[in-house]
Parts: sequence; C-alpha cells; structure tokens
Amino acid sequence: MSAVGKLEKAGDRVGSHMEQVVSEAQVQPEHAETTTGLDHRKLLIWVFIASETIFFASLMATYLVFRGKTPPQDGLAHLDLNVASINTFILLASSLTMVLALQSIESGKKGRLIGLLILTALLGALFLGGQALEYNELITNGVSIDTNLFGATFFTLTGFHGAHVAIGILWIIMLIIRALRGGISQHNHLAVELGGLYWHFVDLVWVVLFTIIYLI
Amino acid sequence: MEQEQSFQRSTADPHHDPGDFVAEEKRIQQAKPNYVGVFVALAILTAIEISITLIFPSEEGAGATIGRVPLLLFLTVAKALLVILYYMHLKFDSRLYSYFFGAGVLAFGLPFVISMIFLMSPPQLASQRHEGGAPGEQRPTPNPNAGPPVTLKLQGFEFEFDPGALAANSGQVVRIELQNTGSVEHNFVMPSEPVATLPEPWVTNNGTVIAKAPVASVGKGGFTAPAPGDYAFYCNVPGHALAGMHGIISIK
Ligand SMILES: [Cu+2]
Repeated sequence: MSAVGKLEKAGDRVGSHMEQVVSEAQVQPEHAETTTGLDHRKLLIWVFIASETIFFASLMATYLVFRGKTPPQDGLAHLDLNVASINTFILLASSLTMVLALQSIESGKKGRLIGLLILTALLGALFLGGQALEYNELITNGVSIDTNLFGATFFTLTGFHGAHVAIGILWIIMLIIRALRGGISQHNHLAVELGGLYWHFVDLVWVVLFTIIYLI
Repeated sequence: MEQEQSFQRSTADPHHDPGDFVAEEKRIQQAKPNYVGVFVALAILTAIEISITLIFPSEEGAGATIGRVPLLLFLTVAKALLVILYYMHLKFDSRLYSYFFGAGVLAFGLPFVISMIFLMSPPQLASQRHEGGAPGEQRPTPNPNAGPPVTLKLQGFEFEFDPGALAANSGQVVRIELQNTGSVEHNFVMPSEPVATLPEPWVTNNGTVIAKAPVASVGKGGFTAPAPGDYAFYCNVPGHALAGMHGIISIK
C-alpha cells in the first residue's frame, strides 16, 4: 500500500482519531519508501538477529571446544539441572506471553497488551534471578570467570546471554511506557513486533544453551 | 473496499506483496497460529530432553552417549524451529527475512559442527592421560638404580615454584603434588627434551601437562623420569612462565 493510500485510509477515521493519525505519521514517516517491499526497521532487526546468531555461535563453539579440558568437579558438577530447567520453562513462558501481547494489539486490545508485556518483563526478571542463584552456587564453590577454562567459557557465554535478557527487559519496559503514552495502536504496533522478535531470539539462544551446557 | 483489495492481492501472491503491511498482518491473523499449543509442544519437548539426560547420565559411557547427543540435538533443533516459525512468525512472513536469517544460521552451522566434532571425542584430561599411560606407549627401560617411586611436593603461586629445583633418578616413577597457594590456576608442565636443547620450552609451550592445580587445591600427576639431564618445568598458563614460574628438575 502506498503512503497516499495509507493516508486516505487514515482519512476515513478523521475526527476523534485525528490525534492518532498525526502520531502515526510521525512514527512511520517513510512507510512505503522501500525497494525491497519490506519495512526497513523489520529487515534491520532480522539482519541484527542474524549477526547475533554468529556472535553466540562462536561463544558456544568456544565453550564446547574447551568443555572436556576441565575436570567436572572443578566446574560442571556445580551446575544445578533443576534451576536450569525451571529457568527454561520460565523463558519459554515469557515467549508465549510476548507473542500473545502482539496478538492482543493486532486485535486492538491495548489493556491486554500492557498486561502481557508486564508479565513478560517479570518472567525475564525471574530468569535473571535463577541465573544469579546459579552464579552464586558456582562462585561459593570456587568457580569463577578466571578460575579455569570451564569458568572462563561458561561465564562468558551465559553472561552475554543474561545481558541480552536484561536488555530485553529494558526494551519491554520502554514498550510499556510507549503503549501507556498512546504511541502504540492496532494499526501502529511495529515496535511491539520488533521487540518481540528480539525477545524470541534471546529465548532461542537459551534453548540451544540449555542443551549444550546442561543436557549433553 | 481498500482492505478487501489488499486481502485479495495477498492471497494471490503471498510472498511478493510489495510493502503491504496490512496484508501481512491479515495473513498472520488468517493463519491463526495456536500459540498456546506451540508453548505446550515446546514444554513437552523440553521435558523429553530433561528425562533423556536423567535416564542416561552424561558419563562418557560407550553406547548411551552415542545415541543420546544426536537425539538431544534433534529435539533442540525441533524446539528452535517452533520458536522461529511460529513465535517469530517466519512461516507467515516474507521470504526475504528467512534468507537473511538463513545466512546467519549457515554461518552459525560451520563453527557449531566443528565444535561438535570435538565434543563427540572428548579430549582426555592431560593428567589422566599421562598417569594412566597409553597401552602401546613406549616407556624408558627401567633403570635398576632408579629406586622406589618418589613423591615430589611443591608449591605454586604468582609467579614462582617453591622449591624451584627438583631431583630424581632416570627411570624412577615420579609423582608430582603441586599445591596452589596463589590466587589463580597454576600447573606443572614438563618438556621431553633436556634444558640444553630447550632452554626456554615455555616460549613454544612444548611440554606435557603433568598436573594442574586450581586455586586452593593440590594438583596431582606423575611421570617416569626420562634420560639423565637437567629438564625445565614450568607453568603454561599464559604469561606465568615468562614472569618466572619455572624451575629445573635434574635427572641423574
Ligand atoms: Cu601459573
């Protein structure tokens, strides 16, 4: 649809929706000016995710290569599968609430969107709490980032993932603020979709991390 | 009117719709993915993964490990696909996004597969390998004057060994007990050539790790003393030997 078409359509809702139209025009000024037929911002997120994939792949490969070089009692044995499993379910649940949040705004339910976003952020915070427990357990057993190869690779890998979760929580908080201020509506919710893509990617990384660290 | 038009276009050519975001939304809403169902599937797959790990513990046992790792990886890929296709709705989106992501995954696959090769044949710990000795390994002919096995105790800290001079007889079984009294990991590495040939073996890190001692612990290992001569020993944690963490063991 062209920008003109978009404006025409918006024109149908002139009146009480005038304010919304203005804010849409501000948020999405170059809606259809694209050579790929895709929104630049969404394409950018996907390219970013692709590069993040490579980033985490190299950290995972490093972890795996050095995995057998530290005796289990100096590292792996202090990991708790229970904590990691609960964390896995927490993060999977947060992906569900995130995708339901997007679905809510697609059908115009803004209150539901905000509620689900808050739930997602809380689940993310819970995950970080579980990770803090795990780090505490390792450090009290004398395994930290400078102890041995396991410590160095494990803390680098899971630390970067945890940082991504933390950034995701901030992102969601910004979405909540924006939604409360009226910057997100049924026909202008790309921001939720982009935040969601990032959040699901962070979940995706954990799906792989969980297997290679705790299961194999 | 307008909406219906775009809807018709989207059904005619779902993947090459130029910039029609409304049509895209319609497509996703039309497909009505069962997100809760996807979550249940993810949870069940995770439960299966965890039970596999609990039933077949990760001890490097022969048969169990072989089938276990590919199965776990398969389940993980299945979970990843569920997240990508439904939660990240790549299944319903323009193919161009998939191409970008696919390129990333391809670049991901390469290092991952390489590291899996390492994983499938877990390298034995250097200290175990040395203590046990490979079955066909050539050993120096036992020296009748070697004497009984001897245990050499020493301390390692930043950046020194104490004592820095050790002695043993050629052919004697030597046990090393390295107590780490420092604040980072240290180890005991010995080259196979005497110090006359390799005055600073740590420059090329040419040596076998005999014992490694994490912080506040004792690293144990052993070897059979080689042909007579003065041999260097050192810590191969990067920088340590250069900072002075080396010594001499004289073999008579
Ligand atoms: Cu050292």
